[in-house]
Amino acid sequence: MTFPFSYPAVCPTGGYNELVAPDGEIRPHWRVFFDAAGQNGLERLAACADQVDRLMSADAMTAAARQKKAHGVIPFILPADEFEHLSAGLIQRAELFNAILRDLYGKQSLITNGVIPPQIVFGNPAYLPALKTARPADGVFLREYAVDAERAPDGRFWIVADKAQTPEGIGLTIKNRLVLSRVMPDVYASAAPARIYDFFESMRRQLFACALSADGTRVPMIVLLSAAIKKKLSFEEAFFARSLGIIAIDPADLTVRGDRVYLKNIDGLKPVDVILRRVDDGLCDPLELNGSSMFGVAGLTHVVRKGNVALINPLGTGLAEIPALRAFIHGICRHFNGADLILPSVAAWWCGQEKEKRYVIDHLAELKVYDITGKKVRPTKDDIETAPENYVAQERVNASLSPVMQNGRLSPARTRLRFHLIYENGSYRVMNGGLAFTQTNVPSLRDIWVAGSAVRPDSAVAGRIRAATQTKPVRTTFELTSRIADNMYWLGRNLERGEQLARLLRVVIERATEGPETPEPDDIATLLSVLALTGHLPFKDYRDPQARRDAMTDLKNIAASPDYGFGLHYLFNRLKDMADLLHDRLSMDTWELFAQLPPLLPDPKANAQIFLNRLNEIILRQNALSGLIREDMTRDHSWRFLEIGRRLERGMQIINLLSGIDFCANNGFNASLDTLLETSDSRMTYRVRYMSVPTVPLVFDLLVCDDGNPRALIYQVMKLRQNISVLERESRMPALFSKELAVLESVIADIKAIDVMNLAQQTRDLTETVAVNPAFNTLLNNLRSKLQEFSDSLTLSCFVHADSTRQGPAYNKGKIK
Amino acid sequence: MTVTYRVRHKTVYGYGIPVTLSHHLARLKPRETPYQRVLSADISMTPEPSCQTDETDAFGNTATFLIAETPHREMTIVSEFTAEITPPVYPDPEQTPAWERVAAMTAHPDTPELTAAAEMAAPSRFIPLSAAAKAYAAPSLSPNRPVLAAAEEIMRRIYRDFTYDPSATSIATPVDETIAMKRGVCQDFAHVAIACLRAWGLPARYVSGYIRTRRAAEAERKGEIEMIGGDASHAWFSVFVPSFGWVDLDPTNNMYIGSEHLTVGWGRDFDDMSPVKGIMTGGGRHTVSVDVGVRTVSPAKERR
Repeated sequence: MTFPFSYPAVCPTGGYNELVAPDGEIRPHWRVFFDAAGQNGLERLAACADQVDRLMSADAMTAAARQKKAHGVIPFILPADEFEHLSAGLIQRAELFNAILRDLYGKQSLITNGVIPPQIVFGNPAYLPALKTARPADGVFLREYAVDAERAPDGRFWIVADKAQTPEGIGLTIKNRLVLSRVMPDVYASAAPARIYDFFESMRRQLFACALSADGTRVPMIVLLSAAIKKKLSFEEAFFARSLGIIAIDPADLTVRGDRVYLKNIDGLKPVDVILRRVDDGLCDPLELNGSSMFGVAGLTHVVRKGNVALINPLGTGLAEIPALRAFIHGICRHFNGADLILPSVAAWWCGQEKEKRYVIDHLAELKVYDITGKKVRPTKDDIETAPENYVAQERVNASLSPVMQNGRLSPARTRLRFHLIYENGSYRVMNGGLAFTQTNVPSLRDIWVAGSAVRPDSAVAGRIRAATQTKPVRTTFELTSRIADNMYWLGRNLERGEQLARLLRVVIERATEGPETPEPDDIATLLSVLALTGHLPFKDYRDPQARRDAMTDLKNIAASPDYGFGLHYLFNRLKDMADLLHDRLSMDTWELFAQLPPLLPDPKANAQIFLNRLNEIILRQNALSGLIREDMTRDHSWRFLEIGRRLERGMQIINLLSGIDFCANNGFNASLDTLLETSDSRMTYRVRYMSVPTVPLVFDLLVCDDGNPRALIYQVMKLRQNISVLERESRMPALFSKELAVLESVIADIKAIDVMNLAQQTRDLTETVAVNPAFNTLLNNLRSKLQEFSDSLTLSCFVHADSTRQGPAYNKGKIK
Repeated sequence: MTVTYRVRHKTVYGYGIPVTLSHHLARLKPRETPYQRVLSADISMTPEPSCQTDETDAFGNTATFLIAETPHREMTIVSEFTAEITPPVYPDPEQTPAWERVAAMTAHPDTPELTAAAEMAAPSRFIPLSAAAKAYAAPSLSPNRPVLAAAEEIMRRIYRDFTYDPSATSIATPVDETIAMKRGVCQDFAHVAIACLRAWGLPARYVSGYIRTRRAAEAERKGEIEMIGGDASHAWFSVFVPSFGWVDLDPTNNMYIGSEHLTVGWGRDFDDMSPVKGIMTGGGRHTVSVDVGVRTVSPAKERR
């Protein structure tokens, strides 16, 4: 059958034509697909292509996955016999790399027997000697493995890369398959490609099997350790987490205690049995594996050494990826197997040998060059001559071309294939499919179909996976990691702190620029004193006009300078970073508002009017944020921690403002109570309540004791108590938050016991300085230190899990030593 | 003639803000060597660690894994041990194999011992390949020079050319910079010597330990030169001599290690033998103060 569509029989690159044979005939294994999909011309394929892209991006679980990537409506089709040959070669290679790792982190016989030169291993940052004593208990170094292959013009497949450390792509493969089968059910049914879901099932079984060998006594805890959780939990990771029913976490979620590694949950430490890791070896344990990084889980290697956690892949697999091994792979295969490789490995040359170095230097332009760690580099001939042992060159394969849809037409594109393997019963299982990467103007990731298989897809497994990718598991447990809770808490605190500071700066800059006559000098002096009390400004007598003028520069720096430690610039950038960390907990709108804050800051040298305009805009955005958080966020536990952070910070800010009264009095002037009310957003409430000039006792009562004022301290504390009580109730663990609740109760009792009329001697004449009683300051300090105690206690027990007086039930300290 | 020493190494860390949780790896317990017998070794820490375990690392050193879970602003680690030293006997440097032969054996190891030595000929994190070291070492590596004679000369030249200056370098000072400044401390001198040997394909390792120092007054009275490197842990290097083993040389004091050197352990560079590594939650700015005491004790008394 001649291929009915316009498609070249000979590709301009000279590469192997996957679709059409040199005689113009369509290759037999592609026929079923085009017979079914191309009945009415290419229009249907074009329409389906559009639908595939739409489905893929609509289902994209995170921002990063939404980036433009075509997924290709045309699968890459492989005939069954070819795939069988490929599989045999892939399995041989997986076993080989497992043996290599076991040897290099063991006896190192490959080196002692002269099979590989010592220089490619020793001195290579991918080789981590600490792991010689932290080998996986069962000697299996490679549980997951992926290989990239390209077909050369002679029709043979060549292996061009080994992915051993964090072999990604299974999630996308399954996703591709789901989408294609949904978009073109009839084509899929007639082509009936070999099923891939059972591979995934096998993977799930393997995860649990590893857990059982670690500890067979309880339901195993399996986590997916992601390095990318900050901004782009990849589709792959999200998919795995959801369909395997495990949680995706960051290294900061884990902690080592004694000889075990635990997940830090807000209600305690949960022992972890299996870590499916998507983090490189060198970033797994800052204590033992990489002295220059703080990333990772301190002590994880120790836990591996004790055999108390299974990592998949185990630590050390990064070594399998170094390109220099490919230069010696034939010898290695003969050494271990006494046989040759089934699948050829692309030619590679390590420049530490004279002859090889000459060849590389003479053919530099046509080769891919890597440094010893596997990073692609472009050295000059001199670079290679200077440190030859640092370089490995690899042949380029003139890769085969397969059809892709571009602008409604079929065109050939260079293709690389990724295959996945998983360890099973002493050997490896190959996934009957994979990903085909095509480098067109929009890179595409296509499904690989193994044709000619009579077996229909297992609908039960497919259905389960389908359901898992579409439904979010219902949270029935008290599940919130300490890291998320901690970040939410600080998001709340910094949000409130930023609001308060912006409002304060606006009031003081406004007053200061209103002209010399209008403002009460004490208004400004009061606020500047509050800023001094909170460490933003030096202590001065701010009734002095010169001191006030000098303070203007400081105020602008507090608002906008990146060099000022705790000003708005710092707070907004920190908020933005935290919003990034919490991107999957915040709505897109909320997240964007956080991102809008830093660019709103004016130049620190701008004039006061620009400052005021910008501060107004900032405050509007902040109000919008508060509104979104109040109205849009699900009232789950993570929201509760945000709320706790906000309430606590607001309480602290009220105390700070009130301290200004005492401070001003000690400096011989009356604090401007009106300004304090304005800054704390309570001026209206005061007027409604009292319709009189503010006095110290009444202002104190309104800002501290009045539980009907949502800006009052007691109101914040009651909100704290309410949220902590919900946490306590839902944790179903008695007395989990007893210490925090006790502190809050005592704060409430303290506030209720205050006799506000006793705090200051009221004067008849307003120009006289109010005499503030010593009790005033003692009281505020007492309240401040109790709130601090609440914060410390929450931090230690919920976030850091360091307070030795309280642990989760699973963490029995007595057993450790 | 054996000498028995008692060593006390106390390190106090002060933190600006409380440390709520910390994990440490201490390489402070001495290992056995052909010249050193360890009679006792203990490590204690305040705050009381929730976990303290000794492990043997990839190079055979003892690493103590510690966790502190009590919030603290100050942490103290005290290592105390007693060890008996028999002065090593070294081969005649002029009778050792030519350095070229050693380099060739290392490049193509055919015994597990040579493979282990080859690991020490490779660049490491703190001692990357250094052209400056290669050039500096060149005059000492004349054709067919016996390997130990060459290493000894490199040690003497470092002693002569470099100035002991604790203010000149930090833990992170690269070897090239030390060579350019010609200043540093024991650890830098060891790194330079190792870089020199490795640049020419020779296996050399970093040794961490202590040296017995004499009080300046005593040195004066006896008319001896004071040994530098006291009141802190010490470091030197070791070179591989085929069919003999490893020979330790101290470039800071221009001597082969003898009855006054106590070995804790060895590795590729300082990074492998850092006395205390730690990862802290909290802490902020911190200060460290170290106090080391090395004294001889009567062996009879210790054994009892």
